[in-house]
Amino acid sequence: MAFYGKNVFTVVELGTSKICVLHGTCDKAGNAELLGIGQRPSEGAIVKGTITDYNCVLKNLEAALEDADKSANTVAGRGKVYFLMSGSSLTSRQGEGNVIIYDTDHRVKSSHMAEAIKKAQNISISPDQENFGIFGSYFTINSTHRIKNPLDQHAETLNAYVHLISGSRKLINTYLGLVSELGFERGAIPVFSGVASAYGTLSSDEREYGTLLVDFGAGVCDYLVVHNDGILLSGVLPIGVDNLANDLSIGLDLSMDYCRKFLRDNTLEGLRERAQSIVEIPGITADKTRKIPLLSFEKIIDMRLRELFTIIKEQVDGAQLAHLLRAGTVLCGGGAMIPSAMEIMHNVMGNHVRRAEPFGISGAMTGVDRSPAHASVLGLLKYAAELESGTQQGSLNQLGDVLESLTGRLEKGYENFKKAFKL
Amino acid sequence: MTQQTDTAEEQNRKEPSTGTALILGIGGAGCRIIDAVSRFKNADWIQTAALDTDSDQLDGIHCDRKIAASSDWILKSGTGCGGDIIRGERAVSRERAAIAGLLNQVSLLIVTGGLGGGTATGGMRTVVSVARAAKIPTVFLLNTPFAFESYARRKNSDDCIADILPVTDVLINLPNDLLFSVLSGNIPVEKAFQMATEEMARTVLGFLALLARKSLFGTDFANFMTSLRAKKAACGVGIGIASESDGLDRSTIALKRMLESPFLGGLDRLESSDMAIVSISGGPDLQIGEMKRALEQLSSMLPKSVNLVMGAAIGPCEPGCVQLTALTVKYEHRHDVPTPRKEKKKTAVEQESQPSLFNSPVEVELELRSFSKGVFADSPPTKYKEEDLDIPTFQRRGANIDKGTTGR
Repeated sequence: MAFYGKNVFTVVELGTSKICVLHGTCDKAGNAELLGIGQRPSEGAIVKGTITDYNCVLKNLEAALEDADKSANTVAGRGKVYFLMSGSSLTSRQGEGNVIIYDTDHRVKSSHMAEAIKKAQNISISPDQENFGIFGSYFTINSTHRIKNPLDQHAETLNAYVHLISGSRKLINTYLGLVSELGFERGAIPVFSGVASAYGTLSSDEREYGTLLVDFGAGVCDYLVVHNDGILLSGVLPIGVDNLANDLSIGLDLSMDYCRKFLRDNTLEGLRERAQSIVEIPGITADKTRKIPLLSFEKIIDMRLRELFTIIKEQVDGAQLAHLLRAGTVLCGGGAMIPSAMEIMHNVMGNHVRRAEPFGISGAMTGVDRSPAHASVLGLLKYAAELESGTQQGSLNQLGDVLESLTGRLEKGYENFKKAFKL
Repeated sequence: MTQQTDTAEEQNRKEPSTGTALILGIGGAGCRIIDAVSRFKNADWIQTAALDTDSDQLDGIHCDRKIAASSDWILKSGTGCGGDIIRGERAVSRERAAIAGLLNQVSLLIVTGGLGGGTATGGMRTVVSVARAAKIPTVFLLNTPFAFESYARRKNSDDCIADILPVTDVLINLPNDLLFSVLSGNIPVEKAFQMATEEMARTVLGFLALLARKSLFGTDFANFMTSLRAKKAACGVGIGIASESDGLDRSTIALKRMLESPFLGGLDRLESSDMAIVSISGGPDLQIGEMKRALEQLSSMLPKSVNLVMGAAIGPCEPGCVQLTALTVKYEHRHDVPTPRKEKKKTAVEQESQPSLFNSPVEVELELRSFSKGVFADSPPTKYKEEDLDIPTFQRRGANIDKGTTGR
């Protein structure tokens, strides 16, 4: 099948458990269509978002890319690629820019907004970090209430708040090096995986009323607070499902493979439904069986999940955003499939919790089920589709809409990106 | 778009005021309380069940249902778990299906037992887990050891409470020491423990009657849940029952008896509490004047610093009876209980730097336990508030984990 006339792009996820490549396109309305998929295990070459074995990642990424081409029944052009960024090196900040409106009519104009946004981005970061994501949070006029779009409103002062995400320059360089070795000539655009998950799973109501999104992956846990289509808080905790498997492995003297499979296959839920209280595992001697109480598994899992979600709650409370989460909490990622995760999250956060699945994508979905585990990579596809089509229909960076129209398209920022990394 | 919505637990929870109530006693103390409850109870909608590892003791208990748990997976011993928490945990977790079977058609569960030993302390978490899975409102009324009992028993009791507190709706721990307030020193030991058991049985029944009645205003299960959920607190429970045959002013008599309840700890304790939940309940003949009198009298006794929550409930009970129930709560922390952390032991240098009053050498305790990080041994540490999060949570919290059999 040829992709004549189609704007084809590629999205890449380099995760702790899997390397996933999707080829996609978009229609004029900005709807994403999946054309091909390739997926390979990471084989331990990526740990908590950090690449520990470059050649292994390159090999598996190349293989995943070929699988995606075969799945799409053609060799997709190595044009533009979007990749997910996560890991403990990522940091986020809220920038604030203030403008006094001296005009006689005291009406907010686009020039005022542009100036406020520009000032808000002026935050010094350490030389080893690079901003790669800028999202609107909200505006305030006369330092009173928060508003989405202050254009043409009467005001004495205008404040713009933006959310800036930065990552390690070395890590970004490494990712760029990988994709350039695979022939992507038009360069690569990094996207924070929490933002991608939000694109893939949050409804418009949730984005407006305020939601905490938690993407509980194999290596890291990303969290994001979205309110009124703006991002107010984001972060990465380098604790994932692998930590849970590690806890079980150490606590019960089991192999990591068994523990990962135990968590992946929802064995705990099955045993509970059958009211079994003991887990039987083949022992070292052939005719012996190990018997471990189910309670031991529950205890270890409960303690780890409770601690993780409590840390996230502390971040939200520290930023004083708990009262804005009217739509509750959304849980996605592979860890969302753990049966007690929802209950514990509800217990800790004290609000409504939903397990999210990606939506809004058509096309060749065979091979990638709409499970929470693929929320970030499918969300990235949607994000890329919106950017490529030039529409940002009710999207997260609605303020970014304002940002783009005032300061130029993302393409311009992308050109700067290319120059910075000499692509 | 497919959305999986899990509604909040409270929305799926059954109403406690309808259906059957079950009182479950775990361990030796719990079974004795159930035996006393079975003799006191006079309503068909209350069921009793006992679970213990000591089959001899269990045989002598009168109740509707019994579960004999074996502490040994290989031999059905029935000889008790000898205060071993791990054996108690294994024994009760093995009876998970039987416990789940008890909860069919049950709309309210009260669990009682004495912490510090093996069966109740070890098995409590299994019961919590089964009750949560069944989404049944559950109240845990647990006794904690006397002050003169061994440190190990008291520590086991404290650890168990800390372990189950975050996952229970209502946990009321009643120190056995409160019984000394009504027991005089010349009472024989056997009789003293018998009186303690009976008092606990009355407390359990009185509490059950309160929750099972239809609340007119104020106090219901949700009130208790809001006050006690995941909050570490010292509690006291007082039950006072009076009937028309006790005198004209039965509500005042009930108030007096409530204040004399041993597990309330006296008026002093009531006055020093952070919150008091008081409810007057009775049959259809309960008069508004009685209710007003009793609640106003109590309100006038307490200082304004006590957050008083009052309520009234009506339901089927003994004709002509009025019951006054009070739950006092004194919080240990002002905020929700955080995950318990190991206290950082002072190093030898820190201890030596402190001036010693008597210039005597300080013995330093060295930590012999080493923590394993497993697959993250070679990764840089993930630091959060001076803790390395790659070390398993259960290790950092010092939780005991039963590894089961070795399979060798």
